[in-house]
Amino acid sequence: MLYVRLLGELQAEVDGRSVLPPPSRRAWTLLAWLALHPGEHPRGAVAARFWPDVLDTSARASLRSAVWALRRALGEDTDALSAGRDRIGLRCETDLARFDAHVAAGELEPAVTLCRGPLLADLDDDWVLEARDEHAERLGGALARLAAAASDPTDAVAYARRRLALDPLDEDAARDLMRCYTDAGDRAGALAAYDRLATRLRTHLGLAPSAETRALAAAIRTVVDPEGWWPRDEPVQRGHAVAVHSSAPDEPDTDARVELRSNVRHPPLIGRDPELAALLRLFHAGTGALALITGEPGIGKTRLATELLAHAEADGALTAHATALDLGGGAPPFGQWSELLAQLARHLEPPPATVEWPEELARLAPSLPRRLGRPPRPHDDVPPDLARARLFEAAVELAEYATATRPLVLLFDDAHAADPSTLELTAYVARRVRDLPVLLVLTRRPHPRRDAIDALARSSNLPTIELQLDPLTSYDVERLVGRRPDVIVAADGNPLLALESARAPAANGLKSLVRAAIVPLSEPARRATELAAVAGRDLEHAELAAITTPPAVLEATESGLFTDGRFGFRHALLRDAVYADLDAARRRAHHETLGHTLGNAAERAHHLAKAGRDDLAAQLLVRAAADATRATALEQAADFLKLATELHPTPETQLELANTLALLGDRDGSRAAFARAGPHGAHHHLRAAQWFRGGLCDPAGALDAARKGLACPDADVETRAELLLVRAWAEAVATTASDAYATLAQVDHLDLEPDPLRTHHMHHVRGFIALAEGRLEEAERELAESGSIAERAGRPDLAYGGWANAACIATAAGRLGRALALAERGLVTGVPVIELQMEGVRAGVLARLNRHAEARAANERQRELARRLGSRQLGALADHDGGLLALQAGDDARAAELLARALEQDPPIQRGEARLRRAEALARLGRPDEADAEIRAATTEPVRPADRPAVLVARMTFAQALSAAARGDAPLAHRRLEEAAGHWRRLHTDAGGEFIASLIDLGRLPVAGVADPARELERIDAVVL
Amino acid sequence: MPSFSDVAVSRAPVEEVWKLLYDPARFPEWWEGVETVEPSSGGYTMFPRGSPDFPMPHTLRSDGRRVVMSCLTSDLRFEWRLEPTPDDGTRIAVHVEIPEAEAHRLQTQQAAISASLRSLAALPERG
Repeated sequence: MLYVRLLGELQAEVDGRSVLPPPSRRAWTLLAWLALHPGEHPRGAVAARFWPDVLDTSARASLRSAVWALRRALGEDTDALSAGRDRIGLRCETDLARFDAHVAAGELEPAVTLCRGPLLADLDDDWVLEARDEHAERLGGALARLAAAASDPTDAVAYARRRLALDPLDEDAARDLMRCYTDAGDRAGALAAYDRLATRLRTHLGLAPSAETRALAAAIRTVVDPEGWWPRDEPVQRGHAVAVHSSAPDEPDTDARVELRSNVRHPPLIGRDPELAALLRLFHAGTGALALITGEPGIGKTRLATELLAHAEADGALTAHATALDLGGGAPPFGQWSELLAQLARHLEPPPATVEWPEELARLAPSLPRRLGRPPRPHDDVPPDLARARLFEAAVELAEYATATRPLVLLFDDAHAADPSTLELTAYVARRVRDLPVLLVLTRRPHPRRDAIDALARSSNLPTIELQLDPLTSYDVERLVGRRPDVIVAADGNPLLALESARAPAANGLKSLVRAAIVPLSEPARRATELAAVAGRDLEHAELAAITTPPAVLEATESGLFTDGRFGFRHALLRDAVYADLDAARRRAHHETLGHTLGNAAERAHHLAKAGRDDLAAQLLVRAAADATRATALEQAADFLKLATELHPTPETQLELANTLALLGDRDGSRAAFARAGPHGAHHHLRAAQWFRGGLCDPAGALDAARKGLACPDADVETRAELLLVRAWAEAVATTASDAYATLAQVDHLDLEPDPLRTHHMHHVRGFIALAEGRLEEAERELAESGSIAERAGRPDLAYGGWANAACIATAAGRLGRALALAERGLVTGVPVIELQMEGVRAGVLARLNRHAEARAANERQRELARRLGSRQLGALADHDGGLLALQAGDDARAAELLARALEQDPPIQRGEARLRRAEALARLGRPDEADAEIRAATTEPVRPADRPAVLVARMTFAQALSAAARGDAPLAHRRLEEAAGHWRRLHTDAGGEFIASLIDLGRLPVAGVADPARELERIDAVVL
Repeated sequence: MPSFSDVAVSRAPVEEVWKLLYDPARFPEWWEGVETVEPSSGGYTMFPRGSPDFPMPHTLRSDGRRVVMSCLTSDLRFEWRLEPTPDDGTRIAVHVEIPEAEAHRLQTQQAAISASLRSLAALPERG
């Protein structure tokens, strides 16, 4: 057994025997990385991580050398290192895993004992530094909990000191140490700790301690009896420089606590009493609610919202607050949610190990699991749409967990500038928290108008207030700045302008004001100020350290432009004014500096593009797109890649763009980008073939790409197998079954190791071959099996397709009980978009069983899931299905209403048929004029092969018959019925062909609307004239 | 590419012409030279009169304004348009494109389609 020690210097043992590091440093580092990242990883990804600056083939060759060296070092008698053709991984135990297990079990003492030193103390790669910081934070959390639980104050001090040693600039840790000293009766020690912190901050960062820390020091100096004036059960892990506060409802609200809060420096809230009262009423209602605060810049939106948060905290709520980063569309996706989650995590107790939401939300906030005391775990390798569905559900689960004991208030400041993904997730959560005490607060400027925010409010179904903040009255401005007539007039009711004008009375407008603040600064301090303006957000300590010096920061903070204790402007307008005053050369230089410094790829790319460094920006945009894809924000990933191809097109970037567009279902865009990428190898064609088989559902495209890939000389055996499977599928649905048989036989001859997903695809293809040849029972069996295999492989997105197809086939074959059982298998995936499809199938089967009430309930759930997903199109689809179900149940009024609603949208339905079915309902309701109008409208609707034109003709004739009957024209009605019966008798049933055509053309299964001539003839016979 | 167009007006409402145009099984009643039609996967197959062993698979699609019938063996393309007239009749327009390789069939096709068009217009009038 291989045991790797990661905590401290890297060491390894095989069965108790020490492993000597191999001569290759890279091989030794590879061991560390593999031990740190359990599971198997794609070779390409590992090679790219370790050798990012060379061609893929060279990187893979270097990886092979490193693996060889590592295998030799580990010795022949261990199989710990698994290195297959495509994947590589290490089976081992590590001290880090033991540490995490101890923490998860609440065994903190043995956990911290394992920590011999910083993680991988002898390595310094970027990923090591990240992992080291993450572990230090986890260790810090454990030490904080130990300090809080220690019965002996001296032990508490020791733990707190050890925690502070992990990051001597961590103000939270310093405050905890100060409290522990005070608890131990050592106020001098507490104040000495404060002095050391103040010195370190000044020396290293040029910053003073935050207001919260200074307030604590002041309280320690003045408080006589330290016992009980701060809460013992205060959350033990606190971030620095974030605006999140929490207090449990049963915390003592002492004077000292009030003093801490009052030290947060805000101007007084004046002239907004009615608005604050309205917000507080909404908060106190205790249910899900939404508040939109709209107003011009500087009018006081953020001030009002933060006042609400302060009141909510005082009432025991958990609050978090994040401001949108306005980079003109270039901001990283889910930016505000990432920040909110990181803040919330500091105040949540670790959830039970059985829940999955921390790992799902790690896509947005990678630190979340470890902040909640959970060991690292790689993301599941699932398609982005499935990952997105899970991610959104996880956010709702977090809200449920966080509100189990107290209300939650989330502030999305400057939501007009929010990235699209942030608003989509917010809208999703808003639709799901009606019964939870969650208040969502969005501030926004009236311009530019973000329709997505209004749509969010409309779709939320939450109690909502929208506050329009008007300018303050002269009286209120005077209360704010005193009797200053010149200031009051100049401010024109804008509190920010009033305060700034009062601060610098000689200045005329914000531009003059910031100039007056900057001119006295030395060049380094001015540069630091300008860099902060160009960054567009508060700069973190580590970022400041990389771009400027502590004295420059200290001097800049004296300018009066910055927030107390942080290096961020007091208001975005001040920041904008500094930026606007920069000349072009200086602006470019600052953008370039930040482009080489900041941590996030999207942000860095934005700055480098602004600096004119298009080649570097394009490289970073590709990384930003990969990050966005991991976070399930495909549209933003596509935007990043489109920009990258404009700035500096390369074949690789075009391929990535083609891939992303394919995932988004953009067939033409994907094809065009693929063509622009130039000559391709087998692997590229395989990717394209898989897009066409998957989301694009284009058999001809899949066939073409698979054939081209198979013709490439570089197609290795596994790539060939994958290409053959795609080709077989395309042949089964688009050409002839015999071709598909022959292709499947070629896959069998390759004699490969079993692979669950390959087996899934084999059954899937066999199912379609049987379907195309009319062997429905065999098709159902094969497709159901393909679903079961995919389910066992952890791929519900593939599984449901198998079950849904099998259910439809069983329906067509009249095995309705079996169909129902298959449909119900897909209802427990926990993925709304899958469950929605399966509810649709289930409703159709129930209607065929004449269980109309249950069918209607299933359809209602379909509609509810569509609402939860925020998809009007899926909602319209549910209306359409509901209309057909109502028609079958004889509820013509409901059928007419639902079908009309569906036709107002553009869901993937047969529109002509929907109109004709609605015409039937209208005629039965005695509304022949409207029925005739629908019949006429049906002649102008598109017809695709899946629509089977002859079926439409038969349906139109039947609708005409009913309309004639409604007019009392029995002879005409009789003639039409005869004509319709003739049409249906001529139509043979080709259920297999109909299913395939519908799947390819509409991407959905025609359960409720399937054409069954025998049933239609029964309906004709049932008409009474 | 050789092509031609033609127009006719039927006194029948647009629905009645539409039903004939969308029902391949009734093509032999008005399409000159078509003997039988059988449904096939994704479309239908026409068999010319006198050539029962010469299948001509077609697809039929419509964007709501134009009905396009494409022959998969000869690349002939028929595009039909129906418009209601003020007196509740139907204006029927057809545009036919013939591949270069079949250019020699232009006159034959033109005559056949002209006759078909008139049959299509007259058939529903007979009720």
